[in-house]
Amino acid sequence: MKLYRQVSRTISHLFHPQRANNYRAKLLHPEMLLFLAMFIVMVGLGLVYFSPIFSQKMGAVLGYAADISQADVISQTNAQRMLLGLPPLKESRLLDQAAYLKAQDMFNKQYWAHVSPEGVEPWSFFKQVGYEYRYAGENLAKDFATTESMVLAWMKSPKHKENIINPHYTQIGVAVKNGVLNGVETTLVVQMFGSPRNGLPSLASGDETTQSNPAKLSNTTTEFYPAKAQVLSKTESLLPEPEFSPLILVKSLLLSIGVMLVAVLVYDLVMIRKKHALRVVGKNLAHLMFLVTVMFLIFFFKSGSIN
Amino acid sequence: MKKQLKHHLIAYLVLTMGLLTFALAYVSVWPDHKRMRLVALGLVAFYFFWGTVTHVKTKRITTRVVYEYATISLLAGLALTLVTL
Repeated sequence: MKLYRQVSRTISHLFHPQRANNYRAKLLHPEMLLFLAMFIVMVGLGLVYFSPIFSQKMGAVLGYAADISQADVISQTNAQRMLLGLPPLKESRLLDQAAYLKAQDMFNKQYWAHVSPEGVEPWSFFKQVGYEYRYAGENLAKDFATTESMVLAWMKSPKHKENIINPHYTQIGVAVKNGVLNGVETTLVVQMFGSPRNGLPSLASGDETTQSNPAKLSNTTTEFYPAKAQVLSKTESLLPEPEFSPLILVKSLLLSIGVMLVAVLVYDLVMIRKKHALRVVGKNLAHLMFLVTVMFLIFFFKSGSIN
Repeated sequence: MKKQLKHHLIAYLVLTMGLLTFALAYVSVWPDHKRMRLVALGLVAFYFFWGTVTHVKTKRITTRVVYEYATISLLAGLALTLVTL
């Protein structure tokens, strides 16, 4: 009975404006808001950085599910080019292979960058497969849910767009590969652009010409967040479907806290009007507008990023 | 609430315009996470200054009010930054 009274008093103090909390729900006092901020940071960072490790040990799968195929990436890339009157890029098996090796390398060495931690640059994969280029470029992506959103992100970024609409390129290779990167199952998309060094007409996939010294390497690569990886190697083992992503966990936490604060603000507004209490505090309506805007942005936030 | 809106119409209009502008900016710079964090910082700073200035103008400013706006702004800023990690 005593415990019940204590709990109900605490809850009342936290949520109900009364004399004990200066007619302002304790949850809306700056000290509690600061505590909430610290809580969000600790739990949020824990979800982002430690939950992948924890979930792997528990056998669960944290990751991003995506619906992206190699063919889709190539066709949508070419669609963007054709909108600008550029000729479509021909798929090159050598560039596909180079892209696959790059994706494989990123998973093996657990990095997400154009240049590996050992300093291996993108064009070394071109050389590895024997593709001698006059122009070359690379785009990387991970964590996008669809090809459309990924290509849209590319086109919104000047550097990535430059690769896609570069008139010097004649060939393209794409790898879409599933794997675990930093404890989270993810899909990497690697796009390799090129044009053969000796200026021979573009060859159909499966047939490459490689000669001469490498010429210019076009500017960097854009990185995408992965989509559903296509496994190019027959020896790849299949990974289980991810159950949820770290982003969903973080969003759930933030939206729960947001809903709670909005509810408390509305309740506080209603109660104070009833009691006709005078107080000097922040404007509840303004806080509501602000928090609703922030919650809206968090709710509609999509996974995917470019580097 | 209606009374509050009527008395502070301009202030709330400024707030609405500011929130809309920053929200659109946040969405438009996706998926560049660095720029999204900068926009979030701008939104947070805007709200804090809006709150402080509004209360100064109405002569209803205290240290606790400033802290309240600062902590709510901080909370929102951290939330918007956390999703971009």
